[in-house]
Amino acid sequence: MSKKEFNRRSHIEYFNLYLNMLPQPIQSMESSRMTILYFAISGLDMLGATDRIKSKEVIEWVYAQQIVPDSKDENKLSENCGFRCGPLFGCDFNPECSRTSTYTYDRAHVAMTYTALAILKILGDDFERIDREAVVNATAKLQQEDGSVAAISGISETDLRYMYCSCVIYTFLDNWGTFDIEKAANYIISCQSYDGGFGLVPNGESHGGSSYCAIASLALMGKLDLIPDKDFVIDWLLRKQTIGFQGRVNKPPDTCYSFWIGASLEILGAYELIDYDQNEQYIFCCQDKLGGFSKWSRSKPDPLHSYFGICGLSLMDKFNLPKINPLYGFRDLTLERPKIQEKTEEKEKEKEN
Amino acid sequence: MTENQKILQKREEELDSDEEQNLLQKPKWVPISKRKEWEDVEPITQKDGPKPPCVVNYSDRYKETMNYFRAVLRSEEISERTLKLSKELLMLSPSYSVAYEFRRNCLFALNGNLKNELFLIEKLLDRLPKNYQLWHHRMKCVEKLNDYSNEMDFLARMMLGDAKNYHVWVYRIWLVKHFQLWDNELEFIEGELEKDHLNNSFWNYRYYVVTKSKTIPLETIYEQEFEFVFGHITKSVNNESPWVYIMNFIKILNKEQLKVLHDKVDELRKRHRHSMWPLFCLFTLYTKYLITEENLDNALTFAKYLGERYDQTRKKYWEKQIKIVEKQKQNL
Repeated sequence: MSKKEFNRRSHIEYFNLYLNMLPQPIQSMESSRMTILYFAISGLDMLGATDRIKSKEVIEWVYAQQIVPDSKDENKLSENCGFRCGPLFGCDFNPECSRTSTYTYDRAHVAMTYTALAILKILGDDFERIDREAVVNATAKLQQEDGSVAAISGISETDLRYMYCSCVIYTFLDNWGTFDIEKAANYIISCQSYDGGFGLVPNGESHGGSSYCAIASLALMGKLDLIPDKDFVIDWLLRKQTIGFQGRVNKPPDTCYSFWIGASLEILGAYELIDYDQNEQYIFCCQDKLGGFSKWSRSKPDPLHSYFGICGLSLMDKFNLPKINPLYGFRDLTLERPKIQEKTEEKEKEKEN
Repeated sequence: MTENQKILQKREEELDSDEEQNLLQKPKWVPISKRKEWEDVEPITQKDGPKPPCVVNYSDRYKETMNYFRAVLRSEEISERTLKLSKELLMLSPSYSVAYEFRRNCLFALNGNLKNELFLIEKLLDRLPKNYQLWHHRMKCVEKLNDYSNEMDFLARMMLGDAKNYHVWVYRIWLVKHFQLWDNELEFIEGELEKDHLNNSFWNYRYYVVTKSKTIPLETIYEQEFEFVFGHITKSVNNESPWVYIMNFIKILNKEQLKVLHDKVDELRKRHRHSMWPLFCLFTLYTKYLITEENLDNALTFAKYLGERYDQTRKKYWEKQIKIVEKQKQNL
């Protein structure tokens, strides 16, 4: 593609496909169905195409994934509360969120709770059916001895991704419950590498995704000042730009890091120091003719890279994309939407043809 | 559906579905509903509601396996048949976290062969090297088995596939700490760095090993690391990894060590005039540790070269640094 053209229409169609279905070859991705739905919904929202979304139906479905306390004993398996990835466990469809029975293996996943709440927010829901106390208490139980956060109750991996998800949950519900903020912040700091970035776990190699999770989490906790030398982190982040952004030293650039690294810089107040043109150039060489963005040029697009490609462009204030909130990863809902000059885009297309 | 969407859908269906096509061993699948040993179990279907979004287009095999597994999770039955079913399920849905915990519960309760389990995990990791749940499952099995004897060879095989696979390193970091396997690690990572000094994961791991997970003070290991790092830098001056590695030590250096470092880097600057790294390192030394008026002047010159020629991507950053250093000069 020689001329940089933002294919808004194609991207809308791309996300619309995933809004409606998950194709069979990737049926096993249903264990992340809520996050894929989030990419589709927020993607369409970013593109100003919310008319494609049947909000009421989506909201019903999202609420039906909420695990609420047991009707007979609200302490029974209370650590399981929150949102599922989808109806995998086989419970009855319960969008009213009435209390029924809790089961050992029917568990919320912190990333699904985060994306469920995000979807509801974007669609303008008022969280009326959220059992706030149950969600906050269950999420707080995911915190480990060392301050880290697990994905689900029981035995599960713990890493900075889940730290971030839990911090957003507390922020959305305006309630940090019994979550130990000091311990969590110290854990995050212990993930900082010798070169300034943050690894996924302590001693882990500095990585763009985990650095975002670290920085955003600290910001949400109001503990950004615990970072001993913010300039050192900013240096690491800025050096991740080759053309687009790489996730680690000596690795090729990848579209999604235009968001992970870009949003981190935005939070630390240094985004304007990047090279806008090179970043834009890279994201565009990953734009697919049929819609969506891939991680590298000439590879296939996927919902995650498509979504973060758009977020990456939004950080640069381009193409009439609404501003994202770098802490949440979706549109800043407090701001007015920019007007989409669709007619102008079409005229320019005609001129070229 | 629009034309575009039809093409998109067709392309999605042609996706290389490693997870299903390649993982399924038996070409002829016997539906679980037709298996005698499952006669007494009532499968549980999924209730997706009247108008679900992101509708999953399940294959019959997937749907039926999940229906029976749902019944098993509900009943929490631990038995040979549920252990077997969990394997079938995980081959189809390898990211279903809770299924791994259920499977471990069966394995541990029934004294299942954990060494065989490690075999199975590796087979799946071969196809899905970045699956978080598989790596975690392996960790839990090895922990229970309390036997790490196969793990180094396993990691060596995984590294052949991708020596930068983040999971490989997270796992090794855990393994070495858990079983206190520090002894051979320095030799190991030096060997890897000989083969590929550009692999940043190697450098990060070296740091972990020499500091023994940040328990050994930097002062103790500096001289050894200085020798090692500059041995590599002289071979490849534009490699970022060793530079950021050694720059981490600057804060603990005494006057004499700072001078030695400075002279070494300055020598490299003269030999490799187009490289950004000696300039960047000297800039840091001059503005933070060896602050004199002359050095700040040099720092300004280097910042100019970096922004205009050798590190143009960070032009705006260097313009900002110039302003900061000019102010620093004024305040001297």
